[in-house]
Amino acid sequence: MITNLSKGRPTIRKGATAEFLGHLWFALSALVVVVLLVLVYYFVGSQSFQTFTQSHISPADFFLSSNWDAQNHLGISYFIIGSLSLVLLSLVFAVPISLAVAVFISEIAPKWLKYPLLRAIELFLGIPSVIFGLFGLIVIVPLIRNFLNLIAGGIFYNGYGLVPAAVVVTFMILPTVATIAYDAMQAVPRELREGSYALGATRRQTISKVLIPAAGPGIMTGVILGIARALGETVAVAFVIGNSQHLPFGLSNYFPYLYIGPTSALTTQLLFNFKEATVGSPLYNALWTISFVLLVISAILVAVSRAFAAKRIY
Amino acid sequence: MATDTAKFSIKDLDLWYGESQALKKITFDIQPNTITALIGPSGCGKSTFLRQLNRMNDLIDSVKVQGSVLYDGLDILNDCDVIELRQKVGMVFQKPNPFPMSIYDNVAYGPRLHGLATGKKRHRALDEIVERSLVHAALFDEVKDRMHKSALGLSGGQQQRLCIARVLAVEPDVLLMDEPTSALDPISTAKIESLLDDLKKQYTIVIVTHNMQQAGRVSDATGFFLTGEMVEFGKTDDIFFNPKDSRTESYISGRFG
Ligand SMILES: Nc1ncnc2c1ncn2[C@@H]1O[C@H](COP(=O)(O)OP(=O)(O)OP(=O)(O)O)[C@@H](O)[C@H]1O
Ligand SMILES: [Mg+2]
Repeated sequence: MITNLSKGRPTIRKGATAEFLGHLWFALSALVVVVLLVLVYYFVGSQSFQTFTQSHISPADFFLSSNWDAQNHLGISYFIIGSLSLVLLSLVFAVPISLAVAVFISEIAPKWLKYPLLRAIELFLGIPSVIFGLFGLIVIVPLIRNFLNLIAGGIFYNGYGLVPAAVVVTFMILPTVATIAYDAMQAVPRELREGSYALGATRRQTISKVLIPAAGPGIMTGVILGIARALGETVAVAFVIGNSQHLPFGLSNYFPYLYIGPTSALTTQLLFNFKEATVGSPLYNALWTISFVLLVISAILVAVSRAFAAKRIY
Repeated sequence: MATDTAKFSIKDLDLWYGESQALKKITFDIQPNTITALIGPSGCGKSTFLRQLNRMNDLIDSVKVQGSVLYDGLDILNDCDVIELRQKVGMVFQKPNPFPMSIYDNVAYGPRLHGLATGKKRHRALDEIVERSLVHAALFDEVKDRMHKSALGLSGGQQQRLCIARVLAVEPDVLLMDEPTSALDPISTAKIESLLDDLKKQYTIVIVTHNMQQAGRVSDATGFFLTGEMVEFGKTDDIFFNPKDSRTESYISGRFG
């Protein structure tokens, strides 16, 4: 203002133009995001319906059949099962560990340890997924192979499949879920913890009965994000899942009576088949339908996580 | 000396937050079934002192304590089970802090922790504890139709009475209250004040307040704190109308603090 005055030339109009351009820039950027989103949904959606219109596969057969044969028959039920069991098993591994990590950093760790741990988790968060895939391939798969072949008889296990995939996904989602859970716990007011301690609760009781429920909706947002990543992860999972058109698990005649072997998820199926699909072929269309299924599930997950975020108390 | 009948007997209590001393040689007795008010300017150590009586200061790493606090003759700074102590010496905070759960679960929280409702009719027993505590805290009539609704939906004054009920439910012996009405409107404050008079028949109450009228209205004894020291302690009437120390007189008459 003062410089303007000293120059003796008011610059109000110039300022107004700059402001207008600024607003235009923001508005256009927002518009680009919306247009891109609509385009992606429209493009993937319209391609995906070709499976049912152009390739004349019935939706029921497509989603319920387990027979996937690129030349003759396309059914994706095993891959849906593969993806869902991957998500579930990853959560079984990742949620308790993430919660424990979050509780430790938020409530138990001494101050000097707290910040190094938080920084370490941030570093963890930035590791590219292909590295987890390699780690899974070189370390986890042989571990599982050796372990299963040691305890089981009658069948040879090659170590690939749902379990190493879930381990790899656990590594990937653990830092996300843990940091979000940590933030949710930090947001719980100190007064609440004090109220519990003042009633004669131990730290364990305060954590399990007051802190975790109070941070619950916030923790759930983290878990949903974890689900979304587990569902969408492709590269790391592709290294270790085995890429076979079988159910992730089955009964066996030999101890431990549950066979766990190579399988596929929706994402890895996409990855491994796209090269061979010629444009317009049933396989090509089917792969677009798989993409659309992934897209729709991720949209639902975002909505669910919004719902939890809206229920946050603190 | 009245020491052997005192509820709390505090002697030469020093407390430091790291290097800075917050309490200096506090020495006085708190008698059973009385209301003791603690007054003094902001930052003089009232809350710190109160939180030492149920060892809430244990939660702060930097705190160091010296001296002795006897509760019913038991040295609570050294050999004492904090969990048991806090069950006996309950605390109500400045800001109502209900847990984000139902009204019922808030009150049942303590009894459930300590297994106070036992036997075959455990559920009935717990219901009774909850109802009795809410009645006692003069809240029951207002919440009896919404026991299983979230406590966060209550008004500030109701929340504070819920917090009192929550403490009463663990059958304490002493109630520590740190400015329990400072976040409340006059009507809620009046309700809690009349409640205090009723509660003192069963409990020993220590209340921190910035409100001189409140201290005058509700308390039997008053202690005046100044920069970590207990300047004067005595009958409330004496402190208010016949203070021995000139600093007490200045504070009471509103000349500083
Ligand atoms: N957790 C803490 N760490 C370090 N210093 C503290 C801590 N809590 C309180 N203090 C210091 O101790 C002194 C006494 O604080 P205290 O909260 O007991 O005062 P108070 O009399 O309750 O004041 P108010 O009337 O404002 O509530 C103050 O100087 C305060 O800054
Ligand atoms: Mg205070």
